[in-house]
Parts: sequence; structure tokens; C-alpha cells
Amino acid sequence: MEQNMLTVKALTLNRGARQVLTNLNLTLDAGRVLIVTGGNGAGKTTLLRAVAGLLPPYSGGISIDGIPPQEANPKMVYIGHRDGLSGVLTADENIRFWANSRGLFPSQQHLTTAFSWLGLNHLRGVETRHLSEGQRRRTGLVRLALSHVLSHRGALNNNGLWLIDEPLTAMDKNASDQLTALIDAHSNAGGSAILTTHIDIKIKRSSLIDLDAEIVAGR
Amino acid sequence: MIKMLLSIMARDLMLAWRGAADIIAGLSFFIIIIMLIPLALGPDPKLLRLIAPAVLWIAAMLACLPQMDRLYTQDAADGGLDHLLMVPLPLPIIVLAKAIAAWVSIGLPLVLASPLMAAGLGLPVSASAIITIMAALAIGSFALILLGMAASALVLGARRGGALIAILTLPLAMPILIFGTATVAAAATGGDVQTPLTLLAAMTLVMLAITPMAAAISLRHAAE
Repeated sequence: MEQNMLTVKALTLNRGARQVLTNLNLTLDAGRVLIVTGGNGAGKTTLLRAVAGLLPPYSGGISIDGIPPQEANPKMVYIGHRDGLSGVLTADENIRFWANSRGLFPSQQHLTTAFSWLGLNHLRGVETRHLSEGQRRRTGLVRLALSHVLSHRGALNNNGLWLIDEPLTAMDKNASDQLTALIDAHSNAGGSAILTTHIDIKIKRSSLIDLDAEIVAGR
Repeated sequence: MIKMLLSIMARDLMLAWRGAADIIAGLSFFIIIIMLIPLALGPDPKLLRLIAPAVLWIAAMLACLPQMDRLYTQDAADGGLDHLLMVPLPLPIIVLAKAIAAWVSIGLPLVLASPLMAAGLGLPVSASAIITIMAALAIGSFALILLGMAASALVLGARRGGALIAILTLPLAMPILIFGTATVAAAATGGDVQTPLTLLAAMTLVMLAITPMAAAISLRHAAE
């Protein structure tokens, strides 16, 4: 039985004094992926940040599994357009500290599996300032792989909501295939995701919303 | 929850350790300011001893300040702040954990260097005086860091944040300076240490109650 993972009702979002999104309604079921498109400034990032609980709505409501975003933190993994990695820490340390601060405490085995989803095991010990833009981007995405690995192994009791902002920036074909496979595995296991992109990406069980036109189409 | 907080502190300490140049710079700044005073004043031991408490505290404040800037700016710049805000714990408690980690990397080196500096300024080197001076600096520098942390959260997103932090922090740090110097002066002359030290601790407790909330609110605003 499917249930709503995310419900957005009459949502209006402002950035400063500028209204970015007006009266947006949408729902996302568990096990589904929403791809958000739209031109620059259409409000894709703003929408993701609001769902993540980082930006309070001007009006309207957001609920994740029935609770407001700021209390739903443990269910969400947010990947912003900045990768949130400290340059002087290694890829491994960055991911480990991120996971531990969320109370996940992954084992070595979990981390190895997570890094292998993005083909990064050989770079785990490298300080992230020495990585290329694309490699850093992929390192950031290891957070998703880790949350998938942990929920798969029963270490997390829910398949959460992934919020991914422009994941394909600076990524090669190989990396974007890895990400697609990861998102497919996540939704197959009952998890949901929202991702923003300008680039066409083929993802199973997904629907598309164009913020310029507010057209919702299923795939 | 404790383990989660410890991992946040461990991360900050590791960041501080990897950027050890900042710690050394802060400590050197502290030592150099104190060494410049006798050079400028001339080596009159009586005069030095008289102004030593003030010199020690002003040097400690000035050495802490430049380091406040990096507490949140780096996280805000690389997106780490978003992840911090999404940690499923109350934000003021996270801020407090980060303040403790910051104290270990910024305040503690000054505390450890202070006996040598006090001796260099001609303060008495009896065990009780040294312990009092170190305790006062430890308590006072924690209050300074709490204040600086709130200020650095407040100025996120402002240009020239470093200068703003100084302007915001220093006036509010006056009580710390007053009771801190009073404690050290009392320790030097063998006077009543307990009263100024208790007042200094009280000031720190006030900071402890207010600043994590203030910093948390500022951080949320900065992320919007």
C-alpha cells in the first residue's frame, strides 16, 4: 500500500522580498521520484530547501510523513548544490562525521559498500580539496548511498526522502549512471526522492514537474 | 545523543588540528603582545607587575578574536552548515558542543601558556596564584568564545565579517575583562580572589544561557 511521503499544500516561498513559488500543491508517494525542472530562478533550489526545513515557508504547509520538515530531519538526506565537504578532511572522514552526527555510526563494511556505489573506494583516503569538482560531487552523493545501504541492512527503520539539488553538475556519464542506479534502488526499496535538474535524466518510477509551467507528468 | 555531539566536536577538533597554523598563530599573537609590553614600557618590574593582569587579559581577548571568524564561515561557505542544521538534535546544544570544541582549540592553548606569560610579566609564581590565573583565564576565555561564536553566527553573510565580530564582541566582553583582571590582580597581591572569580564564573554562566540560543537563531537565518 502506498502512502504519501510528502505533501505540499498551497505553498508560497519567498527569497527576501521576492516571491519565488506561488501556491504550489504536490504530493509524492513512498517509492516515487519527483524530478523538478525549470529555468534559472524558477525556484527549484528554494523548493528543496523548504522541504529540507532550511527555509520556512511564507505561507502554506509542507509535511513529510505527517510531520513538519524541521522535525523530519532523520528521514531526509539533503544534497545541496554545495557539497558540504571540508577540504582538509578526507572523503572517508567527511562522510563518517556526517553519518555520526546524525546518529548513524556506520561500520567499515557499510562505508565500503556505500563508496563502491559511486566507484570511489580508491579515493576514500584523499583530502577532498585534492579531488576534482566531479569527484567531490560524487563524494557528497555517497551520503545517499550510505543511507540506502543502512536502510537496506535494517540499520535505519525507514526508507527516507532524498533531496538532491542539481546532482548532474560536473558529473560524467559514468557517474550519472551510478546515481541513476542508486536512485532506482532507493525507490525500489520504498524510498522517495526529489531531484532538480536541467539535464534530461531517465529514472524509473518518476514524475516530472516543470516549475515554469507547473505541469506534472508521470513516467 | 552524546555520541552524536562528540562526533560533531571531534570533527571540529580534527579541522582545527589540520589547520594547526591558526592555533599556532593565535598562541603566538598572545605571546607577542605580552612580550611587546615590557619592550615598550621599559623593564621596571613594579610597573610591569601593576599592569600585568590587564595586559594578560587584553592579549587573551585579542588572540581569541581573529579565530572567531573561522568558526562558522567555512561551514557556511562549503555547504556544511546545511548539514549541521539538519542534525536531528536541538540546534543550541549543537552550538554549545561546537563552542566547547572551539575552546579546546583556541582558549586552552592560551590557558596553558599563561603561567609562563604571568611569570614573564613579574606576577608571583606561587602554585596558588598560578592556578587562580589559569582558572580565571579558562573560565573567561570560554565566555569570550561563546560571545564570539554568537557574533560570528550573526555576521554570516556580511562582508568584512571579521571586523564586525570584534565590534560586536569587545563591548559585551567588558565584564569578563573587568572581573578577569580583578581576579588576576587579587591573585598577584594575595587579596580576595573568590569574589571576582565567582563574578567571572557568573558572567560565563550568563553567556552560557544566552549565546547558544542567539547563535542558533542566527544560523537558521543565515541558511535561509
